[in-house]
Amino acid sequence: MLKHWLARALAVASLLAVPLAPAALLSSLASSAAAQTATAPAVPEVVRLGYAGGPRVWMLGKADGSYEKAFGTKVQWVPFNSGADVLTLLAAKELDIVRFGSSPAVAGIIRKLPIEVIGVSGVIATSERLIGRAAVKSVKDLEGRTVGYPANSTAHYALQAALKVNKVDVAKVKQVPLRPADIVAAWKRGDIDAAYVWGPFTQQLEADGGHEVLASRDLQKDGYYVWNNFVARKEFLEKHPQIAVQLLRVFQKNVEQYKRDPEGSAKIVAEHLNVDLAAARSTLAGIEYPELAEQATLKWLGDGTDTADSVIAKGMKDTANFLAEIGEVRKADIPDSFAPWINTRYLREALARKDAAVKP
Amino acid sequence: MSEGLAGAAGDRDGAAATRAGAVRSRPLVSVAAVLAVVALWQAAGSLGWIGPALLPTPAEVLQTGRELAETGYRQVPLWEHILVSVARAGVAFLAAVLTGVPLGLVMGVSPTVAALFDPFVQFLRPLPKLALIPLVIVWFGIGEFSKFFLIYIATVLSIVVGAAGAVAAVGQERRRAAAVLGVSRYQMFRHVLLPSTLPELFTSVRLALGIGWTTLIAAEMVAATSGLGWMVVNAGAYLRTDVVMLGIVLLGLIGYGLDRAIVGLQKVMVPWTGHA
Amino acid sequence: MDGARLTAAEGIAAPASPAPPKIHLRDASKRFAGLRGGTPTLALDRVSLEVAEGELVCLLGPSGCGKSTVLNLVAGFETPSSGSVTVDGRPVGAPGPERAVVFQQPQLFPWLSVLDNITFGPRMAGVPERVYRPEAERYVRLIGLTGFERHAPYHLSGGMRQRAALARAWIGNPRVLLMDEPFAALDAQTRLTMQELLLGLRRQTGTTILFVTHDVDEALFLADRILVMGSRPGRVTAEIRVPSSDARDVDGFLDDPVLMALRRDVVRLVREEARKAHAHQPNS
Repeated sequence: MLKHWLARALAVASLLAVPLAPAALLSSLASSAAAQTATAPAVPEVVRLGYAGGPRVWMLGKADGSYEKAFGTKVQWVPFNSGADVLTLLAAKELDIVRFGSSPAVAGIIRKLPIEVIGVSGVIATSERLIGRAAVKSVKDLEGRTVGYPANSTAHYALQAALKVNKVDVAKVKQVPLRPADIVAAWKRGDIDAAYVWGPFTQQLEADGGHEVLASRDLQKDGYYVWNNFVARKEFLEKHPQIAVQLLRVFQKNVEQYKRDPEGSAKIVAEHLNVDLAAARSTLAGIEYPELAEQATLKWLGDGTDTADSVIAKGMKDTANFLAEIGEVRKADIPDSFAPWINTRYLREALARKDAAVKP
Repeated sequence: MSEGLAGAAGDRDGAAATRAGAVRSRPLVSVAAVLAVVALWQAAGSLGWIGPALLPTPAEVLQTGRELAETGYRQVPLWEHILVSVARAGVAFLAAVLTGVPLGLVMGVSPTVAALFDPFVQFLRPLPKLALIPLVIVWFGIGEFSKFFLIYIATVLSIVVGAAGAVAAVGQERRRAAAVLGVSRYQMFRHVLLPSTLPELFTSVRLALGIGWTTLIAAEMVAATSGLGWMVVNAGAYLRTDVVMLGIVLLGLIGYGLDRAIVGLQKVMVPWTGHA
Repeated sequence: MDGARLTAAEGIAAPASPAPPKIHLRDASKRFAGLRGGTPTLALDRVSLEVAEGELVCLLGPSGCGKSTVLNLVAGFETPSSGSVTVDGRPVGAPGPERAVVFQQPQLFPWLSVLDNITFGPRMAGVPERVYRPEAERYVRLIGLTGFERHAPYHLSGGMRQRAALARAWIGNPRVLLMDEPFAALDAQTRLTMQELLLGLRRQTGTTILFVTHDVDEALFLADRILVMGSRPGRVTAEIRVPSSDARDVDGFLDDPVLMALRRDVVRLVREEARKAHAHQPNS
């Protein structure tokens, strides 16, 4: 309980960057006292899912309420700006399961957040891209120019990787951390020459004279994988394992729906999120969706016995080393293996029940 | 002369000031309270009440401070982060004082000028400055001017209001006392109103400094790659709570130091503070 | 009321002296607007009074009787709603050094030393230092603040501050000196000393003084003439000439049976006014 309110206090403090701890302490003391009186039910009163607000396939499930149906309880959708916010929300226990990027997830694990990766929601192929002005023809051209990126995001990671792969002298590149919407504003004013960001912001830059310099998929051949994962709080998983299983199953349904009818799906997502249809179409198409069955192999998360050797476990380690290299995390804090933070149990259970129909 | 000596202690709450013993033990109480909180903080971590990611202990924060002092944070030396932040806040704050004080004084003297500016000042003043960030980026871009502007706008408004209020607070009796001595309009302003407002001006400048220093975080959220505020925000993004804590401690200490500096300046420049 | 010594206020004739009055109020009224559209208050109702050259007149009355308003009209802080206020035959304009005022609070400027406070008026008027400097030193001597010239006002006692305020008012050689309960905030001993100091200064300068007070003893001790005021609306209700106003001292004052008898009458008068003010219902 002490941990609980401190986490909340900390989250508030780092969100506002103002030490409001006493107020947070009081409010959370009150709420945790209330929580204590009720014993945890098999089905939680509400499941809090974190989403980035952009067009992603699981928004199909958000639009038609299939997650609520599968969980048999209410779902609270918590939007966030970037992976940075997710970590504070998780630390404050304001989220139960969240779909977000690989590099912030790794940063959270390094900082000992009690979380687990339970599945991969998509590999970022062309949904995150480096957009440049006409003068920026290659990544190398960033030398002497200004590039924007959302701090602690998969795009940030991909940008760093792109600079390294292309042997760019980083001292000559002015890198500016900006929130995605601020990237568009800075672009319109001509303050930045390029930006590594995701849709629909990439499309907005392209509509304003930008062109694609590089997509995250181009980095895969050099061993830099950037993906989004489903991450859940350990405490929540222990209490409600079936929610994680149901989430993966519904997600698989969403993927299947999308693959069957990309255009119709894009339309639903675009309407639901109130974004441009073309942007939704291109962003959804810019993500690769590995099948659940595939995910439980070495190619992705492993089957639980060989997870330490899985591509994702290795990719997390690479990401961690990279973050240490650029000075965001301490080298000494990086675990030997990320396998303990990858839990494929829910994946396997979802697969086992794959044939059974998902609850209508 | 005894009442004169009591007054010379320079303390506003005279009742407490007369009890000299209480005055002398006050710093001791403060130091003890700080030490107790730090000890409790350390104990909470050392005894495993709270995980280190959630609340790094003072020892860890100190260790982080040493690390950053040696190797810097994100390729920038720690002293540079401090200097950048102090420079940003300092320049914007000075500009706010240099423009806000004259404007506020003129508003205090002239009801017409006051009526001209008051709606804007009163509208802008309570706005959370974070809300201005998107506009500021669109208007001024992501360079230093945007950061300057955010701190400036946050501080100048409270200085203007404070200065205008200080003029209004000059008593009728004092104005009359000056009037019967035959002062001109200008002399009234320069030799009576201005010195009369100085103690209150210092108070509003002090408040504004606090506001400016806290606005630093918002300002450095605009595309900064150095500065204490940026350091805190960025470290928060990676849950580097030790760096966040270090940043907060540094921000607090520097803020306290700046406040003390203004109080010191006030003692030298306005020794009559608290004496009507 | 003893008619032999007290004259009814209505129709006070100008004193039979050849010199024109220094201060002259003719049917001066002062009306203050009511708050939020309330009925206006009549602070002064057709007050007429004269103060002769070199005379010390005390305005005596309960609080709220308008005695400070009379002083404010003469000082030029306020303008009469009707009637006229003249000093030396000229209508009173904006406040200025020729009508000096000493307030209940010394109103020294805390950022200036005692000497700089005293010389404030001449300095603002551009008087050269060689002119005002000896004057200032003379007044510092007269008020007994020698050695304290460089002190900050807030390091002085209340009495010392009021002395400096006296010197500051007097140094400009005012035509009239207006004093608004200047010693009311002081302790009894200091007040006596200040009253003697005031009389001493006046003997040297012959300045015309209009002195507002609510203290009967103070009025009897200082004044050549006392004007008792009544309230709501404020007006002069009685005039008292105080005999043997020369060579006055505290001991003689207390032993003087004539003065003591006069004191009884004045106290009775003031009490009556206070009682009337207290029981009064608005009638205008």
